Amino acid sequence: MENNFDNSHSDLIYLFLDREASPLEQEILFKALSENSDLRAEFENALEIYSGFKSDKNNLNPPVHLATSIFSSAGMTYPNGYNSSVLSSPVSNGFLPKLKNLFKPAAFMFLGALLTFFSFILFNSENDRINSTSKGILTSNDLILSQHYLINTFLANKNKDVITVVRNSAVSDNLAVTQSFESDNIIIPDSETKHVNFQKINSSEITINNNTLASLNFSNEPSPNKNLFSLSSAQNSPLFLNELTKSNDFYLEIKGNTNINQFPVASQNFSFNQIYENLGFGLYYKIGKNNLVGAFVGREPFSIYRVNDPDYLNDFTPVSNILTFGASYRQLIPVFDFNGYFTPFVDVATGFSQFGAITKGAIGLNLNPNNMFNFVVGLDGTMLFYKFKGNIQTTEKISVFFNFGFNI
Amino acid sequence: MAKKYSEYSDIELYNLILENKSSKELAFAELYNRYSRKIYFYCFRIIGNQQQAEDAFQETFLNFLQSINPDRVMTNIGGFILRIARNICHKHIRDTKKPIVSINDIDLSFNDESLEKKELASMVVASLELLSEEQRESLILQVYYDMSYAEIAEFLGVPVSTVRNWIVRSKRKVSKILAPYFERT
Repeated sequence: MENNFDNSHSDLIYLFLDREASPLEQEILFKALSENSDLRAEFENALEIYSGFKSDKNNLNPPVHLATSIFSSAGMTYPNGYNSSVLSSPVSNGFLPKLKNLFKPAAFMFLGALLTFFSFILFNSENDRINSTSKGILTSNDLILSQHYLINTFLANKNKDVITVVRNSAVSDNLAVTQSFESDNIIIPDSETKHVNFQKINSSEITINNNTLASLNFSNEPSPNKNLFSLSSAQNSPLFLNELTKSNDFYLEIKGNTNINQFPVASQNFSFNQIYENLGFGLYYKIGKNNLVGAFVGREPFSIYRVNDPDYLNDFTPVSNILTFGASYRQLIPVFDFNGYFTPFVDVATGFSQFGAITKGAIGLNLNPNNMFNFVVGLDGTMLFYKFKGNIQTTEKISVFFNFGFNI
Repeated sequence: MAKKYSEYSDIELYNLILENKSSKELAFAELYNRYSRKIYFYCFRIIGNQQQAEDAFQETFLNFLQSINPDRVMTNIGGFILRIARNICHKHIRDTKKPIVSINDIDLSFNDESLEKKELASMVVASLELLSEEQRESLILQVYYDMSYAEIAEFLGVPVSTVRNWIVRSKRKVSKILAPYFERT
């Protein structure tokens, strides 16, 4: 082998420290070190130099922004949290980036709350008062049937309970029993619609509640201007000395949903299986005619950043059945009530899942063919907060929900 | 069970990038993870200027991505990236007239108190400026890139003995530059 360097004892020190010295060279070096104090000092200096190189090497790291810049220039997405030692996630650096990360869900919730608030203020009609009066003596002042209310009543007319409609057109208000009908098909002539009361057949008592109103059957569609526009009776009429039964305090909903999109966009294809796999239940309490509060529990699909994907083959792993539960507030918006069948609503919810907190905002349409059943469809946006390698991550998704509910 | 990305060889990762699927980004991220520090050491210590070194560093990885094509037979990804970095760094050096540095330009003033490793490191790095280009490059490859003399020789296309000569002489020169420090301590 060509050997064109000065193979002095000093050189052997560096060859030895570089692990490039042959056994023979090592032997020569060790012998020289044992005999020569200057060489030992030089050896120690060489160790210092190696220590200096090592220290420089340990302190030298490519700045994180270079990785971001390279990935961006190459038209790729910077893989957050891929390796925290080199590709440390921006969200882990300080408090402000974390706040920035919370902006989207906060804005989302704020918008939902704003919608709910205004819908409550604008559409919390006088009719709510009737439903919120759980007990008490009903007087004519208490029950003013608005046009809107009757349309609802009329459209929810599938119940076959036997109801007597008593019209007081020819008698005094104090004893308003002039005609009775046991038929499901009750015809109320236009000319005799001003004062109408309701009474169960063969009963001296009258109970007026939503079910009673809803169970009326009309053979002809009443005109709001002519039929049942108002219900009136003299104060303390014996016909009304009964409790106003508050109907359907609770509402149970069976929920289904399926993802249609999510952010960041990841490959999660629509699957019909998800319709059946992701079911839930909601139990609501009606705090007013148009607003409900409740709790929900169910399973939903999310795509979660590298969870359950130890090989990191995909950025986002679709997880179909994530257990979620929480509280919800729903505000119906009857001003857009399309002939009583469809009522728009907004819904905001917050809760937890097995991975982290969730927030929801939804808009939907409530189909109410009668007073018992409801079909509910709409869109909801959900944010899931979770931790991955110490960083807060979020997944946002938009899904279609299709619920079936009934009053209990 | 599929392998973790960290378990893939460089060539396998290269092929994953070639396939241009969803795995492309992660495969590139893994290669970046493996070589970014070494390439950064190299660029920074060869050029000696942080801004230019960062430019060269970015250019290196972008050139690497652009150079990927199915017709290229790749056997040594690390060496390939380093060669790109070397070409870019040498171009930077050629384009930038470096001032001639003498030993008097290097701040070798020492505190009376014991110097910390950081100070020693900065002096060692400063002393690199006084080496010839060949000596500095071979030393950087050996110290920062963890290459053996034989690997450096292969990479630079020179005999192993030449590399030994460059590296040993460069270290002796660094030792000589830092002699005042060693005498004080």
